[in-house]
Amino acid sequence: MLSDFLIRLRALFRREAVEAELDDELRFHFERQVEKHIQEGLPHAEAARRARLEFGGAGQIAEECRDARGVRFLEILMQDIHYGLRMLGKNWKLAGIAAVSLAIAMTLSVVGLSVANGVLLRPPLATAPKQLVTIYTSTPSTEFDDVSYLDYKYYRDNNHSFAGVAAFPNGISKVRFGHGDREEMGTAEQVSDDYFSVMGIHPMLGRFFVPGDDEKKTALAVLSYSCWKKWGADPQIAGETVKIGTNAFSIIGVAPKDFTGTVFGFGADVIITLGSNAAFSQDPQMLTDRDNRWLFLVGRLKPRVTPQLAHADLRALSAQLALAYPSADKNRVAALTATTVLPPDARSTAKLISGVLLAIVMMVLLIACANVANLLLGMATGRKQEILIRSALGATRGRLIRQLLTESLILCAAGGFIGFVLASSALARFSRFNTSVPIMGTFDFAANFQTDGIVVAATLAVILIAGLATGITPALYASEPNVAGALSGEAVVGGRRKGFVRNALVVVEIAVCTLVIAGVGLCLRSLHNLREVNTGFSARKLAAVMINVEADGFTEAQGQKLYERLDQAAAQLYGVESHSLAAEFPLIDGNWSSDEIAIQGATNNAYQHEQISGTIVDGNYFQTLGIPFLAGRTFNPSDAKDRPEVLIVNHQMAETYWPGKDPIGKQVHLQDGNHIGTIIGVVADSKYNTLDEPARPVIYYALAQHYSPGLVLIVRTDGDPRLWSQPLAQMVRSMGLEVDIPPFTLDEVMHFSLLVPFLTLSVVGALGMLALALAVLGLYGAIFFSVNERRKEIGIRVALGAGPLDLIRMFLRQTAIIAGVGVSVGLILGVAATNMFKAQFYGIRPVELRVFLPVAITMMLLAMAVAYIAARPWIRINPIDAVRHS
Amino acid sequence: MSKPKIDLPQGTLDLLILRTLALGPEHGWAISERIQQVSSHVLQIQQGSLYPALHRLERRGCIKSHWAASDNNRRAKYYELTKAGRKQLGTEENEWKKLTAAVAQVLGNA
Repeated sequence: MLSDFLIRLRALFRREAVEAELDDELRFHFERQVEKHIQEGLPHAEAARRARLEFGGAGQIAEECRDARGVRFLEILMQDIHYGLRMLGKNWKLAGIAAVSLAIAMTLSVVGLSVANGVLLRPPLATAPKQLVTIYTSTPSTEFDDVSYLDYKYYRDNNHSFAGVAAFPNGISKVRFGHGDREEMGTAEQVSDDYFSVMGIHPMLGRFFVPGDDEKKTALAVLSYSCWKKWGADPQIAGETVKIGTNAFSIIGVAPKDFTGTVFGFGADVIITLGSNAAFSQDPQMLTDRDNRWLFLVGRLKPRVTPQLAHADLRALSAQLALAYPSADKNRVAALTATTVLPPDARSTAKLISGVLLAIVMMVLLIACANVANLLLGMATGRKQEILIRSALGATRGRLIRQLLTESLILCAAGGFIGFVLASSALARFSRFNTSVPIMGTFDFAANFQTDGIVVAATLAVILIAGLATGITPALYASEPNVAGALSGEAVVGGRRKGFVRNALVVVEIAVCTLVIAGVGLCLRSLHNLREVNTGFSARKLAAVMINVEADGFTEAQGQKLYERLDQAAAQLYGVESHSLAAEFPLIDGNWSSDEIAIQGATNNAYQHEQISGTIVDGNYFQTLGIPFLAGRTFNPSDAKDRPEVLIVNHQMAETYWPGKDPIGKQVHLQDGNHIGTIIGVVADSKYNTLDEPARPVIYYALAQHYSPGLVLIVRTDGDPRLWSQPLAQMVRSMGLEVDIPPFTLDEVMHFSLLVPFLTLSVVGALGMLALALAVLGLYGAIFFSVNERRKEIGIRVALGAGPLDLIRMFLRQTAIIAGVGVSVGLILGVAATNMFKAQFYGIRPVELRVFLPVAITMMLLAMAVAYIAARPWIRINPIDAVRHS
Repeated sequence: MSKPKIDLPQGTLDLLILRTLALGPEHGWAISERIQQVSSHVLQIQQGSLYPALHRLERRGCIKSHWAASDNNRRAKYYELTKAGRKQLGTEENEWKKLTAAVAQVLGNA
């Protein structure tokens, strides 16, 4: 209804003109009526009197006309806003504190919402992303499994539902790039040749891959925008060559700026095809082995094809595959889900992380809201008289509530707006940055969180809910009709109900704050437990450098020679107490091989087959790392390649398979039983991949008997191991080997393995401190207001002989009860949270008193201190002043 | 003032206004006068409800208004029927006829 809208608008914005018109119209009517009566023969005065009688109250008619115009609501709202701003302006200091604490909490909320939205809801960069679905396969044992290249081709070429199906592995590789005279490490990603066309992404320069490139295995590369910029933004770059590892690829185009890569969180530098990657990789089976599953698929639905239809289509295809290739595809069913930035198997983790983040952020917001509610409650007391006068003058209760709610909504809207602006700029600033990670090198982080429509809508909802939640109690309280009370001058004495409401608010604040602080404590304790974990090796001053002789183009024979030379050179290095060559450095979550071995049983002579993790080390390894020998000896030069195979096992392995017996000299069958290894030593258990792993059996193989093309050279130094980085790198380079990853130290590795718990602690800790600060602020305000309201009571108490100490004791006792309830509730919630997130913590008991007790004591002491500070100004009050004051 | 006056049943005021304006544009006072005259002074229109009704009808788009000189050369706000208003009048007239017929039937049978 356009006319309706226009009339409302006109009534709203041309209010004076409309009012004048209404006035004119009514006056015209009145005057005509008077004239009519005069014509009927009445004297002028009598005519006017009768007209007025007939007419009724002009003001009332005008009011009803305004109602009829349908803008009353808006008019009242504007009035309320105007009035609310004036009231907040009067209390600008308190309002400012409330708005700032709300703004901080709102900033966090918006960030939390954006992160949740970014990882769970937002689609990847694509045109018409609603048509995209992610395709994966499920087996009875694995819910989300990848798809092999051959199966991908079958789905792509035989479906009837998709305009196109693209594939990419959910992984990146750090590779060495050479372009012109530049040489650097960067991130490469692979996509199927139709990826860009299926996603509907258009090149910024040059062209993208075309269908068939995968099969032809042409060495083509697409640069990301940021890489192209980094390399000088040459508009003629198409046709030039980029060396990836040792292979030359020709650059065909540059991706648009918005495209940061296929893997969420990481910015890619160069994108190549699946085919060319397979051609140059060490694993040529990638394209030909149906069991080699490494791809997730994204399909674009044809117009008018629903996901249900497409799903049925895919299921039919997977049934055909299962029939044709039972060894690989039996019981394997294709499934599909909406396409987001994360692969389907990562979504439950993302849900957990963003859910916890949102929960904590919402708790901080809850505290801030409780503060605002307390402020408004305090302000309402001071305004009780004013409100009573207004209600005596005819304002309805609904009208008063609306007025008071408007004020809380203004506060929340202001906080929300500031929060939104701050969060948007923070997200824009930090959505893409470089970060250096030890061992892994530099990573280009690209999360691309944005405050899009969904976030705006969610923020508005949060503002509305917060506004109503903070405003409704003070509004109900303040608008309570109590004219008699006002007239008797008792209006400023706080009622019992408000006292209850205020105490409830404080209890909620303290409980939530206790919960958050307990969470911080649990994270801290968990990190502490991890730090204190007995790693099983005593050496601390370790430095190491990774080498890969195969990538540098050496054969096995050359590699063996190089290892000997490295061994000798490392021994010559100044300050090196001990050195070792090994396949793995501890606590780097690498690919430990797991080999099937056969062990003759302890009780009978039958062989039991077991999967046991193994690693390859030289004889110096245990001495270098400080892993004690429990029995036997280490590898020595006599354990050469042509000699019988020898093994060292860890304590757990010895205990598991030869309990109570001497494992030295025992034999195990290796590699399908063709090989026999003899155990020559037992070493203590240590941590291998991660700090929180349980003890497990491990076999050490001799480097001399097992060649490995990639090794770590580990040195134990007699000083700060970081000082050996440079010499180690130089030494390795002097052998003709590349140092792709800078040398690193054990401390850096430990730091890296604690990175996730450390980051969690930082985020939760920062939020916890904020929650604490807001809660202290709120507690102070609540106690200050409530004592202020009890001035009269305090005055009477003082007059009756209560001393300052009695008063303090009273306040502290009352605060202790409230705080005690809050802390108890918070701790109960804390126990519940511990059990909910058991898997995320290390070494935390179900009821972790080492965390909960200090938290409880701190919270209680803090509450007492705040109560004392807030109440102190009132205890020396002069009873006469206090009783008179109103 | 000898004739008894009937208060308007709820909702009939809009119908009367529309019917009156169907004859041509009029201002508020004239509308109320005409209704009184035509109904032989049986229907008395409360001024207090006439103007809110006019404003409501205008907002709904049934009538539109303009300012013009009145018969005694004073500026008056004239209302006239819009297309939507004419349609509305048709349906309301029909409904009214149905209603009165039904009421008459009930009374007749009683």
